Amino acid sequence: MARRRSLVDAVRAAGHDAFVADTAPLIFRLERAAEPRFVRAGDPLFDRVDDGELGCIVSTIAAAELLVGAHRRGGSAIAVVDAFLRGPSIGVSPPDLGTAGIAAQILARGTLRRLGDAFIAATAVDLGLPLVTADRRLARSGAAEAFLVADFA
Amino acid sequence: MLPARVRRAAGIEPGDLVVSVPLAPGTLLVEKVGGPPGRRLKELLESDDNPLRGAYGPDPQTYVDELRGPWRDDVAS
Repeated sequence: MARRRSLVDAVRAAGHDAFVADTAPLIFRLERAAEPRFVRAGDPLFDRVDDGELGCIVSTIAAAELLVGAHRRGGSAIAVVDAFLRGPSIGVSPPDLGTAGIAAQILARGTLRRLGDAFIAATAVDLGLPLVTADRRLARSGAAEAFLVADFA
Repeated sequence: MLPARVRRAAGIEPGDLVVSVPLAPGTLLVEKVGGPPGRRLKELLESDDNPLRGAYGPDPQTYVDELRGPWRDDVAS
């Protein structure tokens, strides 16, 4: 029986050694309480990040979204998210004017309709990296090369 | 170099980052200043001590949707 294609395979087959992570896949990794098949689908990817074999780019939009949940918990939850985001193979990417321009085009074309989604997709487009997301609408929008976690679960 | 049993007794594991300072003849201060972040963090995340457990609700994508707002297609105009 053929081995199911993994997110690691998909990222590498696309010719990349890094990816942009949307917020929900990051939560799968950090919280480890979501539907187990989604946690399992993302784990090999983030294990490679831990090992330094793949880079993971996190938009500051996604970082802020992660931190909202952590701030609702307080102290140690914030420290865990902070430690993750400061990992050696994690890059936090702030939006600049170039990203803003790409996000604006995505919104103007109606490819996506939410500013947050557009900035996440624009980060991937700007860096020339695939986006890993749990949002089917974002993944199927065509705004960026994207891999949907559910397709690998 | 410290013998392995001494390192283990002091709680130092392979991959840990330590600094050592000779204080006096026969006395060495060894302080662990960091560990392999990925492995250590994942261990914490998988443990019952993970402070993020349940912080994002039962469905992380729903949590994200609440922050980003509804898709405009879903909003009655």
